[in-house]
Amino acid sequence: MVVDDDPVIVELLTAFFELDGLEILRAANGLEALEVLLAETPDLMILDLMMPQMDGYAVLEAMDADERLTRVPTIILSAKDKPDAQIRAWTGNVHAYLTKPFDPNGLVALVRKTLDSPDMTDEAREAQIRKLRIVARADGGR
Amino acid sequence: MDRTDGGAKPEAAAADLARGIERRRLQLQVLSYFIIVSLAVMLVLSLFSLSSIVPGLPEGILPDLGWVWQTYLFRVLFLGFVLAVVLYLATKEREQRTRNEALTAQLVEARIALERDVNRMGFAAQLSDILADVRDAASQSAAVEQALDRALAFYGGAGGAVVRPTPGAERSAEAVVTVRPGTPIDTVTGETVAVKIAMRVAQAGGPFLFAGGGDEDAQYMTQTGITSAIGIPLRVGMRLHSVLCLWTDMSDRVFGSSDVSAFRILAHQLELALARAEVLTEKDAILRGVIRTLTMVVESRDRTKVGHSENVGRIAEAMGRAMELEPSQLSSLRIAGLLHDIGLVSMPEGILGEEVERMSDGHRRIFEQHPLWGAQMLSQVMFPDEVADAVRTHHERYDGSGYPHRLKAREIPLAGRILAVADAFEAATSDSRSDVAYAPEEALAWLQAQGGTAFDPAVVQALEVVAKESGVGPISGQAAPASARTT
Repeated sequence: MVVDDDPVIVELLTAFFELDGLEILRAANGLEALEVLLAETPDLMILDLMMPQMDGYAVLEAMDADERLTRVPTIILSAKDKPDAQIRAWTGNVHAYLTKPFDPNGLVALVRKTLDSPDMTDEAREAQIRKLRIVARADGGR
Repeated sequence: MDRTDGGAKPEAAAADLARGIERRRLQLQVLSYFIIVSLAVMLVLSLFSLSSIVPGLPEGILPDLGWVWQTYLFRVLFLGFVLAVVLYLATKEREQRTRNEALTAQLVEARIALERDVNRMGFAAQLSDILADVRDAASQSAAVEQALDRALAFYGGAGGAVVRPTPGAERSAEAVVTVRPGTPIDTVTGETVAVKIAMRVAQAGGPFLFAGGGDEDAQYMTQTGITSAIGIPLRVGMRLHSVLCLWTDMSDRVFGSSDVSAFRILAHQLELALARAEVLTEKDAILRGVIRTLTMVVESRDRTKVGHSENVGRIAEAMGRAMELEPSQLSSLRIAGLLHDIGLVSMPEGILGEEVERMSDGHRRIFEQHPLWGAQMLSQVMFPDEVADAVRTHHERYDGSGYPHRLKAREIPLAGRILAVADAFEAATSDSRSDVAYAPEEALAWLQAQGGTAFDPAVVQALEVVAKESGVGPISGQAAPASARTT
């Protein structure tokens, strides 16, 4: 499923994924995303963070709270590039965080890889977060 | 202090002195006439009584008027003559002194004027120094606050602010406020006052002066203890950018319309600084945007490196910061990190998909030139030399076994040594090349083990410092297997 309030992104990604043989579900904001998640449990979700009405962070929180949803692997796709924003998003079953602008071929490869191994250990996730903290040091002390 | 009411005194004094000198001169004239006349009369009379004094003078030449000496009239005249001479001398002296006073007064006036000008120049120079460092939003606030502090001391104000309407949010403004210690009007109240002043300036389209008065804003200000306030628009480009506000809390220091021209020194300097900050911020934003797009182009050719360049740039900058490098060096590290693999776009189709270890000699030779291609591309752009140097050398190894030029230890520029470590760390901690992403601790341990061979141990240590600051420490005695190596 592709969740993004920008219809252009959704259109572009749909074309790429369908070319690769994947079926695409869509949602334009957090509320719609949750509806789709509950109705049809996709194999993978590409989630934008900045959306009206209900943003990506809220979706992640809802997924953490609900057993049924927690297992959907998620790739974040967002214009927010600051490490702090990224750290905040690394929850639940998030596998990767991509910043916009992005290369679609890279995203497709990532999607394939994630579909092949949909389970990421908490340990691996924690390691990513620790790495992000190191990356965040570029902006100076806190 | 640049007071405007102090001019009256010296002028009045000078007029007084001039009148005094004139009076003395008249007195002297009168006295001198009297002296001459009485001297003449006495001389004549004396001549006529010569015959009684000088013996032997034949009788009858001059009438004998020796009796005249005996008359009271003559004696009075004689006394008058003596007095007149004394008065003349005294008056002359007084006149001289008055002239001196007048001269001194003129010099004092000139010196005051000179001091005032020197103070103004000194103030302008101080402002210039403070505001020269303004480059972006962060440095701007600090510098504006400092400038306002100096202004308060110079103009005798109680508080000041620069108010800027928040972009994108109506009816809301950002203010940099500074207040003199001990004033009853604190920074919070000051901010409210400043915003009110700013709104009046925006409405009026020009400077605003408050010195008492009855409307709502005026009453509020009087309540807070303000005796006068002034608002001056600061223009950047052709539009109103922000408003400079100053206020006083003393009844003997009230801003007047003549103060407005004095404030122009401050206003002008601020306008220059704000304009410069805007230009630099814009320029910075454009540069970042372009680099980001370039990075995307690089990553599109080698799909396993999504997000890699951004991280390498940040890690390299963080390491530079830990090594206490200059801001310009940090900036170069960031750019070099973002663009270190740009040479890959020159690689022929097919090479990039291959594993480095499995490449044919011919392919490997071309592949190992990608740092040179990258450096060549970057040398066309006006980045500092350090950027191209770092990109050219980021695959060299500390022990001289790297590529393309087999440089050793210090022959490799520092930026290149830093980039090598940042690149290796990033690759090891992401699952883009191999299927395994090592935890930061494991990657650090591996890098440490390579200190002296692949990497500069001092540089690896810098990365450790950065890691420790983020709460990440290396695990001792554990090395990552060969598959975590970077290309």
